[in-house]
Amino acid sequence: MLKKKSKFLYLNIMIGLIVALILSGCSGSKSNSSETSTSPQKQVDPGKPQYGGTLKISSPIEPANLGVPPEQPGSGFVHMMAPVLETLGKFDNKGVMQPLLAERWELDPHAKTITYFLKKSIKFHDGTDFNAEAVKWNIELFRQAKRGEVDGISSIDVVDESTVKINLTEWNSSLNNALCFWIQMISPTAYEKNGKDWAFSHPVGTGAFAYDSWERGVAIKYKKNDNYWQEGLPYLDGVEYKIIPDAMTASAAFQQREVDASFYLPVDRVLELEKNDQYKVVTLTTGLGNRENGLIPNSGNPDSPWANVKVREALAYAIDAKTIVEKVLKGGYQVTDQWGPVTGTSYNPDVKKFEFNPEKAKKLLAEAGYPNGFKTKLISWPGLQHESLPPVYQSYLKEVGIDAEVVPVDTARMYDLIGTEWDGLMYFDVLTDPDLPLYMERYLSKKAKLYVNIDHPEKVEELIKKGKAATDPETKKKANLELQKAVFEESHMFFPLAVTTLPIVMYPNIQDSGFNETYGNVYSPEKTWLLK
Amino acid sequence: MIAFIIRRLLQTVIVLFMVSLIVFSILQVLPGDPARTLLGPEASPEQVEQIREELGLNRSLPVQYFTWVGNAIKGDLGKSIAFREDVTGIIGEHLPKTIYISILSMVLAIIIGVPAGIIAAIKRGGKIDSLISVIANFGMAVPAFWLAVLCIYLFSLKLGWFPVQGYTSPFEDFWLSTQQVIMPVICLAFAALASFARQTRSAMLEVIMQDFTRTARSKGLKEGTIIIKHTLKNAIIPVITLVGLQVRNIVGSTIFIEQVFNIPGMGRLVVQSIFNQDFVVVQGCVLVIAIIVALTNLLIDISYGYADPRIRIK
Repeated sequence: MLKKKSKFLYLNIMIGLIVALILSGCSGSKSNSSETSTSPQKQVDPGKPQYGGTLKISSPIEPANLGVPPEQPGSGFVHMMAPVLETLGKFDNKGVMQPLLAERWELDPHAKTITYFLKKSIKFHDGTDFNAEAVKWNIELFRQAKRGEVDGISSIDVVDESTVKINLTEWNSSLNNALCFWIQMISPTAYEKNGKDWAFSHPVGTGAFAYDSWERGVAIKYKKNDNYWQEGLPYLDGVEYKIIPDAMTASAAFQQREVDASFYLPVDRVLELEKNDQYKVVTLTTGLGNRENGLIPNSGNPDSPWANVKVREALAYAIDAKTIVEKVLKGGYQVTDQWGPVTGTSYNPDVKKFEFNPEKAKKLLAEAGYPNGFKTKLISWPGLQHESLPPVYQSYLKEVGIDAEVVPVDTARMYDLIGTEWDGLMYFDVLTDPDLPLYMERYLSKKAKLYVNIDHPEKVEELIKKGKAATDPETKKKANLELQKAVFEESHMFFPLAVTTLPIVMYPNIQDSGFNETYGNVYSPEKTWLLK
Repeated sequence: MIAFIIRRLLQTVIVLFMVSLIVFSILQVLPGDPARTLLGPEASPEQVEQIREELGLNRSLPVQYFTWVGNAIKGDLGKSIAFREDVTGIIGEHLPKTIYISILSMVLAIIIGVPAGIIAAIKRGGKIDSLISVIANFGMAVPAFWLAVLCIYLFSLKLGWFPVQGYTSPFEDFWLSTQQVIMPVICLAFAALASFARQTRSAMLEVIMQDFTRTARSKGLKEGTIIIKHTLKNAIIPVITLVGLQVRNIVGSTIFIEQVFNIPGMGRLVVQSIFNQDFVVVQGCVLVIAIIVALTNLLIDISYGYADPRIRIK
């Protein structure tokens, strides 16, 4: 009897467990579907933008937060918030900041103020007015988060409903671009009512699309904002980001039309897809928003051979950047020898070229007191597309007598080293925008909290200061060009190899997206439409 | 029996405590700072410090660990460092998907693997036996992720039969859901299926040669009755043991399979959280996986007594 009872109990437990597990397995929401991207069209004139459809984009990475811009790590995720969150201005394809949420702005270097005149009648998705108070609140949020982009602001005045004045401790020619680019406006009401943790996953902006859902690691969905302030826009019904970490899967999903466009695909995949006429690859050529990689020596350590500028100059001669980009990186990158790409507005053609010349490198090493070379370390960061670089660097260095031991570190360790000290050469990967005072100050100046282990020549410090204090574009441009010369011809602060062109693979029926037409990864979701 | 279950559950609690302590220690020993990882290399030290304080990362390690353990006992697995959401909720979203594909894989592996093993044993030395043995050896030798890539290439890109990636609840769209899980389930099941076939064949062969099988035949019983009622029942114990081992293997393989087929299950969550240095989520996931494995083993142990009355658990 007891045996029968136990058997019955056991069977019940087993059946109950299995049913519960299956039911719970079935209860998840729909995440990735292979449904077609377009909905029934409302307008059929093929010459004009057509309404409807959902733009699906794949990305291997997703941000940890969507709705608290001050805590965004870098500019890599800006495009993922762009459908919802907007900024005061937007770069055009010449790198000039143009008003977006602002009607216009006035820069007054003598009074040390920037005044923004805002567009009227714009509302956040929760109905809150976009006005001067909201702009002040958003900038203050960045200041509370201690973001470097808002350094130098002494106070913010709300002049009237649509005018806000920023008072500076000293004039900073880069500040307007920084404020207009980095500060994506969120609704103060929504944030304060629901708290920061809620805001992390609920972006409430003024954009053409409103937040719909975010299933972590799966998809971020945005739906059309019917009350968008730009009349007649957007054309799409929605924008969806599918998070596909595996490159092979992302590439296959694109080929199967499960997504319309793919961001951050590895170069070899892009080159493979490029061969097919059905697909289009757009690369970044404006010189805005590029990331540059190379090697940075610990020149700030007086005991390091790299403290000697002749040794750093030898490094420039020792490595054949052109061959590496062509044979190892196989496209997807442009060779550079300065800050930013050769096509960038701050590129200085008068800076001396250091063409590959191992003999010259050996001679410089001998002059520096290292006729037989020396031993050093090469700290590498195995990123998506650079696994093959360290041994290549190693062999070039060996040829001139530098015995480099490759030390691979993971991302977390790399972050530690960037903020503290490292030994020898380290892999370098930074955002190289043409606003040199702003970005060089962030990475290369004494004030920088990153790459603290490098030599900081006084001339570079002065030129950064001069560029920031420039009151007109010509003075700033001049400072930019002088900085390139000081950093790459005189001080060799780091060895620049190449800039990524951020290739995006897409189907040609995506129209007016603006992918890679202005700033890297920034596009115009509000103007994008799908040709049916 | 009840005393046995209680003893095993107590042992499980100790195992879970040890697992959580080891995972916490390993994650702390790893280089890097979760706050820095969260904010990226370009964040200022002031920003990083602010986040560390907000997340409680500047407290001492024992305080962090025991606070977590204390809350975990109450069912609160803490708040994700990266996502700022309750870990219980995050796991609740991901776990059912992994369980769903794991159960389907296990069922598929058993319903194909065990009969294949029986057939191979009955037809020992014949062509069918050879074929099943070759397939089983292939299944055990082929890594699941390689099979996954092959499946995507063949069935998605070339034949267009199945979607490349994604997960849809069967309640949302049953047909799409079925299409999406077929390839991952086959890839997960293949190695387990091969193990079941080999183990069943070997156990069956041992039992087929026993005297009682010969006696059953001499009594004139039907071959089907002999196989199902006498031989299989005696050969099933090692297969049941294998079920427990395969649960672990299948759960482990989901890490690769979920990555390749882009299924938002526990495997992907663990990988993503390790990269984010989100040790709160990793700890929560490991704890839940450990509970599942421990309970499965307990059920397997209990099953022995029912499958073979000669075994008595004391």
